[in-house]
Amino acid sequence: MRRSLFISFLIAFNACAQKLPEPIKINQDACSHCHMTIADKKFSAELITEKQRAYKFDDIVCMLRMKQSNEQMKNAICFVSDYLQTDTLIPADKAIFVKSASERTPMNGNIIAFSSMSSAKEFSNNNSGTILTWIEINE
Amino acid sequence: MKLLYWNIVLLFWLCIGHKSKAASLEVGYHKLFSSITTAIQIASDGDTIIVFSGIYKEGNIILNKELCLIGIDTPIIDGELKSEVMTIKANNVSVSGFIFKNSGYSSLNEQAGIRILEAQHICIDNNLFVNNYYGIYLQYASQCIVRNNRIQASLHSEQQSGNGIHCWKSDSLQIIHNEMSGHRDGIYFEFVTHSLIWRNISYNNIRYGLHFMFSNENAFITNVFHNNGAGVAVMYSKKVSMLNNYYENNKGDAAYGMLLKEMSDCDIIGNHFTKNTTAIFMDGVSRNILRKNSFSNNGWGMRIQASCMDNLVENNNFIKNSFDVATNGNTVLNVFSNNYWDAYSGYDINKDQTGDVPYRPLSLFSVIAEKTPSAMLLFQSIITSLIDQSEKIFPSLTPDTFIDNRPAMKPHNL
Repeated sequence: MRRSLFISFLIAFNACAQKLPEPIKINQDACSHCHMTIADKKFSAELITEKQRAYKFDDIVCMLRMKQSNEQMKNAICFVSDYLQTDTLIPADKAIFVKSASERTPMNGNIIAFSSMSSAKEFSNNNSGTILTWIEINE
Repeated sequence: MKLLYWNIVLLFWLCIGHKSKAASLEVGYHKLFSSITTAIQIASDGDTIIVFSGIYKEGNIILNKELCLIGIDTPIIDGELKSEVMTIKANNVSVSGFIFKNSGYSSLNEQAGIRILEAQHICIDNNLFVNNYYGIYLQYASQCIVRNNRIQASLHSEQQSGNGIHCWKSDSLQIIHNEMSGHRDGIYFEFVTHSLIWRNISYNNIRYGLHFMFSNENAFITNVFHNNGAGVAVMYSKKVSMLNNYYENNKGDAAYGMLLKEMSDCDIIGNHFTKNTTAIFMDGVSRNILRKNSFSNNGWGMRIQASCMDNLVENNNFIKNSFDVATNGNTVLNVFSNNYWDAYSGYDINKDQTGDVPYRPLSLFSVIAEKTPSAMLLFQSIITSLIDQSEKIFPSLTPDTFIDNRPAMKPHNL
């Protein structure tokens, strides 16, 4: 009895484990907010709700807008594409963001994400951008 | 009489005199120049450069003078996948009769077959663009004509590709009779105003046939969009006229004949939607007129999200669609009037060509499928048709106001 209870707990905990982001398929997946087909990985983003549902976006701004307008997405986990390694989705709270007019993202948000501070600084110095954190762009 | 004679002589000399000012420089094998770049360097404003057939590999050709470039027997200008092929930085330029090939590919700067950079009165006529990252790229351009070009790329969907004709922050453009295929978007407009897109064919593009972003007061008339990821997307734009276009075979989960998002005050008149997954998808769209369009053989005719209001849908034909309309909301703020619905089974006793019984185009099953897409498994089963029939008699779940009070008895002649 005790053993089966333990196993069922284990299963329950496993189910609660944080889900990894689904890979974004370009030119196939559509943005959940603006309905545009995602055509450029380097601006894309993904959000996973508490119910483990994944929403994909073509622009970081689309994710922010969707998150702000939906109550049930308040505690969702956000991922963003690394601008330099477009195949990797990194947790948004660990990413460094650069807002620069020289980068034209699909929805004109003009915000891109980097995994390291040094590459973000290098980009923003070359393209007259401003460096932002996840908390700052959420405001 | 004598005065007239002298006038003619004077006119003649004026013509000759004017002509002698502008030279024409010939480029080609056994000609004075062998490279287009040197010919441009020697030429002065108003000259014509005639390029004879051959393959010209000169890196990025920069046109910074008011010249007319004419290709005889379609000379090929090859960017060798390294650089932009031609950049136009001067006003009053005409380029015709060339093949532009193999522009460089870079995800950081957007290289094109021809880039028009901050220039006015440019005419790009009768050219072929093959395998370029972007075909024609107009940036801060105004009063330009892009006409009779064919723009094709053979990029696979996994790879990134640019747009066929990409227009950014431009004004008063005319894009007439071009053919775009294999690019990301056939034609892309961002911050473009007062422009006309007429008689183009856009097909097999990866994302959209035509894409509008933040572009107000434009028109696209008599274009064909077929087999694209989606036909046309109009987003965040106002006052766009969409007349007499054809949308065919735009199929897929995220594919639409026309995707309308956050746009208003547009006229959508006389368009033909055939064999699309969704003919028109509307989200956040207001104050538009949809008149005399034909929707046939589509999965959904119109999908109207609850965020749409004050749209007038009248005199359209809905024929052989799986669902004529669908919505995800309970309130209806749009007006339907005098449309022909092939599923309408009412009668017309007073013979005024409109049905005496109102028609509710929203089937219960389309409401269910909108909320739970997996319910589509039960499509056309006995249960769903039973539910639909009972809902028609006693509407309970579908919005009561979603109604066409004057359905047409016969299809409109479109």
